[in-house]
Amino acid sequence: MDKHKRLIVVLFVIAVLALLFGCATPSRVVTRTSPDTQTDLSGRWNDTDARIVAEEMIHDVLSRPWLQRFERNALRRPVVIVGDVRNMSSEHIDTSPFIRSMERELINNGTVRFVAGDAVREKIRQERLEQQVHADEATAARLGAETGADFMLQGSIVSMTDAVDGTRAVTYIINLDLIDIETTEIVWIGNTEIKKIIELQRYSW
Amino acid sequence: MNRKLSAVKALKLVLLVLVVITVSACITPTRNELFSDIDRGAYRGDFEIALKQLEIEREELYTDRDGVLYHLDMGMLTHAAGEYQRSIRHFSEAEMLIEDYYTRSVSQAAASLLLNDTQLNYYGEDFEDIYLNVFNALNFIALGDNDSAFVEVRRIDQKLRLLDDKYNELAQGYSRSEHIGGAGIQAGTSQFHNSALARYISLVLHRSRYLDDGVRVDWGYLQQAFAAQGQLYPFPLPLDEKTVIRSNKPRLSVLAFAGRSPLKLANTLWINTYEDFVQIVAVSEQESVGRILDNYSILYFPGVEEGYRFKFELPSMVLRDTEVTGVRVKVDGSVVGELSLLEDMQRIAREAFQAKQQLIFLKTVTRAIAKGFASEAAVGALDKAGSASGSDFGAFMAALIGLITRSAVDLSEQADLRVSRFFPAQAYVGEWELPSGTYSVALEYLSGNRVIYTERFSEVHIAPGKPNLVWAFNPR
Repeated sequence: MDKHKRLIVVLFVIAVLALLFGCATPSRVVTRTSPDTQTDLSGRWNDTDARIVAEEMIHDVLSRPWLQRFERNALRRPVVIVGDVRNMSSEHIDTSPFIRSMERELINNGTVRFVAGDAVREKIRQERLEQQVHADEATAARLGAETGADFMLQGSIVSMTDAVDGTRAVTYIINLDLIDIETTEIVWIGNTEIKKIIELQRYSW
Repeated sequence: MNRKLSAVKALKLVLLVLVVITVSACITPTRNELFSDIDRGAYRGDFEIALKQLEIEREELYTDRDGVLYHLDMGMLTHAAGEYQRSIRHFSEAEMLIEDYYTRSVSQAAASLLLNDTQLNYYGEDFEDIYLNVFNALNFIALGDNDSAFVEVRRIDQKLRLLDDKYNELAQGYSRSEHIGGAGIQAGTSQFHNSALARYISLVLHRSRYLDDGVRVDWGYLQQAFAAQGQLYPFPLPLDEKTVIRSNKPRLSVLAFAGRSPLKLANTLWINTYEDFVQIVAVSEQESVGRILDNYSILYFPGVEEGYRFKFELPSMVLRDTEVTGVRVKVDGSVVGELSLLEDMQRIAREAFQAKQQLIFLKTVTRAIAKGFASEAAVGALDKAGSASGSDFGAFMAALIGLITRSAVDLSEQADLRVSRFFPAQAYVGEWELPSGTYSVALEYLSGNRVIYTERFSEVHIAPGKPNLVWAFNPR
C-alpha cells in the first residue's frame, strides 16, 4: 500500500506540473518595430533577406564599369527592363520586393531608367490603343513612342539545404544578370549569398 | 456462507461496473463516430459537402493540438474539390505546424503519461509530411504555376533525403547492435524513406523542362524506392526506361488515386477484480457499426484482491476496402491502356503505425496500470472516510465520489485515433506518347470489368515543355 501511496504522490505532482506549465500559454504581444529591424522567426526567407540582397546588389551594380561605359558611348542613361527572376529554391519566395527595391534605388539616384515589365506593359499598350478611339486626340498617348530598353535584368534564386535531425543549414544564392538586349552580351553579374543555420529545439515546456 | 456473500457482492459490483462501462461507452463517441457523416460524404465523392461539414464541426472534431490534422484533412478535401488555392494554403499551414511541432512539449508529454496520448500535439507522420507536398505540387500544376510546383518537389527531395539519412543511421545502429548481440530493436522502425509517387511527380516536372540530369536522378530514386523498400512496394515497377529517354513526341502522364487512407480504431479492455474473481470485458470498434462487445468473462481467481479496475484502450489500424481494381485510360474515346499501381499509400500509412505500435502498447499498459492502482487507492481512502463519518449520507457520498473517480479515470483512458483521413489509398500511373495536340481523356475506374466511376477531361493540351499530367481521385 505504501508503494501505491508513493505512486499516487508522484502522479499527482506530475499532473500538477503538467497543469501549471500546460496552462501557462502566453497571450499575444504585439510590438511595433522599425522596418529595418532584423527579424528571424521561422528561418525562412523574409523581408530582412530581401533588404540585404537589394542593398548588396545595388552597391554592386553601381560600382561596376558597365554603367560608365554605356554613358560614355551613348551619352545618356541606360534604360533597363526587369525580366524573369526565377525562384529555383525550396521555398516559395516572392522575388518582387528586392527587385522593386533595386528599381527604386536606381531610379531615385538618377543612374538608370526603367521601363515597365511585360505584364504591366501589356496593360499599358491596351490602354494606349483604347485611348486612340476614346480619348481626345490632343491628349491621347502616341503609338510607337515607347522607350526601348537597352538592358534586361534577369536572374534566379537557388537554395541549398543541408539538414540533420533538428538542424538545417540553408544557403540562398541570388544571381542577377544584366544583358545587353542588342548584343546579348552579359555586362554585369551580381551574386549574393545568404546562409542561415536553423536549429530546432527538441523540447520545450 | 462467506463464499456466497462474496458472490452476491461480486454480482452487485458486476452490475455496477457494467453500468459504468455502458455509460462511458455511450457518452464518449470515438473520433471515427464523430467523422462518420463527413466520411460518408467524401466516400460518395461529395467533397464540397464534406468540406462544409468539416468547417462547421471543426471545434468538435479537432482540438487545438490537432492543427496538423485539420489542415491535412482540409488540404486533401479542397484538392479533391478542385479548390487548389485553398488546398495550397491548408497544406502549407500543415507543413509549418509539423515543423513547429518538432519541438515536443514536456508539459504535454507529462499530461499524456497521466491521461492519454491525445494530450500531445499531433505532429504528423513522415508519409503525411511527404504527401502534403505531393498534393501541393499537383495543386500548383493545376494552377499552371510550374515554378512553384518545382518548389514543392525540392521540398520533397529535402525531406526524403533527411528520412534516408535517418533510416540509414538507424539501420546501421541496428546492424551494430545485432553484431553485439542486441535483438528485437528492429520492431518500431519505419522503413519508409522514399516515395515512388513523389519521385515520379518530380520526374515529370524535370522532364517538362528538359532537365535530363534531374530526370535521371529521379528515375534512380524511383527505382530505389521499389528495390530498397520491398515490403512497401511488393509489386512490379510500373514504368520502364522509356520514361527517361527524351522523345520527339510529348508524353501524356496519368495518375489515378483511389480509395481512402486507413483508419485507427479503438480496442478496449476492462479488467475488474473482486474477491477471488476477475472480470474481463473486451470491446472493439468497427468502422461501420461503432463499438461492439467482443468478450465478456468472469474468471474464478483465488487470492485476487477486490477493487482494482484497469482500462486499456489501444488503437489498431485497419485498411478501408476499395472497390477499385484497375483504371483504364481512354484518349479521344479509344482505350490506350490501363494504369499500374505506383504506390500503395495505405500500406505506407499502416507501416508507419506499426512502427510505433510497440511503444504505444507499452505506454498504454503502464499508464493504465498506474491509473488502476491510483484510483483503487483513492476510492479505498474515500471508503474509509465515508465509514469514519458514521453517517449513511457520508458513506453514500463517499461511494458516489468513488464511482465518479473511477468513471473519470475510465474516460481519461482513450486510444489516440488521430490520423489524416482523406488521403487516397492507392496511386496508379501510366504514360503514353502522343503527337502534340488537344485530346479528350477519360479515366475509367474499374471494379472487375465494371466501370464504377469515370473522370473526363474534355480538353487536354499535350505539348512539349509541359508536364502534360492529368490526375483524378475516386475514394470508392
